[in-house]
Amino acid sequence: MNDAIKSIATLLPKPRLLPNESEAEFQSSLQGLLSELDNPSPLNVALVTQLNECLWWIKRHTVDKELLLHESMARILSRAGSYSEVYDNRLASIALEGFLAGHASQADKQWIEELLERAKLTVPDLRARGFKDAAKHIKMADELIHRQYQTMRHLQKSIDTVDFKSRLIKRMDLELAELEKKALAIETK
Amino acid sequence: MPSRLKTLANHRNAQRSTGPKTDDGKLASSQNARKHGLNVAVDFESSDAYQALKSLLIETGYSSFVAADIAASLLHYRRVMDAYYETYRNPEPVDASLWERSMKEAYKALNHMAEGTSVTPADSRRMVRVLARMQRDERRQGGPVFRRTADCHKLIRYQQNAISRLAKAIRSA
Repeated sequence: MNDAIKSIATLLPKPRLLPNESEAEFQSSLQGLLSELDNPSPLNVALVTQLNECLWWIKRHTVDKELLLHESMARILSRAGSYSEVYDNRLASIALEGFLAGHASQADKQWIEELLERAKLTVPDLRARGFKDAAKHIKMADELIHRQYQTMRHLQKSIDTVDFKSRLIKRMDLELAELEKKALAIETK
Repeated sequence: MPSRLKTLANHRNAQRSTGPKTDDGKLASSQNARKHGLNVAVDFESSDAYQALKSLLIETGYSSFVAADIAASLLHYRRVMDAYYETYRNPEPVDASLWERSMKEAYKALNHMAEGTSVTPADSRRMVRVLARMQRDERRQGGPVFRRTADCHKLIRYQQNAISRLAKAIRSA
């Protein structure tokens, strides 16, 4: 198994991680998938690595879906607050996340409530409006996730094909060796 | 299966609606190839990685022809996924100064600058209108997360083609 991993790892560019992501976590997830392989060949290892990368993309896009909604909600609130648009809405977004999760500081809570009052919105209303504004991009994120699932399906089928082929070759080798033995036995008789 | 009449109508409609129509659209699509470079054909066969990968696959029992196909497909898939990563990591930047600019202030500043010149208030208004249009376009694209989602979405078809090619190469073995 280690030889197959080493040989393919040197030849194929490795999937890259974002600066805030853990390499150890990626490797642990990859090792988990590799341990399920019956016959690890270099090609199988390469395919499993791509499959693991797909899982990571699904995670990233799932987080992005929530971020899209937060960004959109924060934009609505900052518009209500200052009547001028601020592009990253970072402060409103952080305060809103804390507010929705129920661990916002007293000051943030007060600020969000004030903004909601000024915008004449309740939290469910804000969520609905935020969803409406970001709907197009949330759909895009869903399509990106769906694409990763389809890619994984292709990769799984390819792994099965490679696995089946190597098992078939092994079986044929054994049968051939058996036939050779029999032929040798007949010759010696 | 669509009827012959429907197929003919589809052909006719497709010929009517291919490609961008406006100058802005043509300008935007002319820059597509420069964003991720995936429309440019790459000769993998001369790369060391391709040769080494092909040899490794031949060693594991694949024929030379199949090994070559799989090696090229695998490298092509990696190229697409690397471009996908780059697009996600570096989306089109937000022009914060344009996004946050107050048009009232911009109009005042333009009028102030125009004092003593031949620029009339009507000219300033026209300039502010152009600026407002640019601001609207900038805001329509959304913040960083919106932009990276939209940019990655454009690469879906490249990923789809790359994985189909790889799966086909492996299936044909």
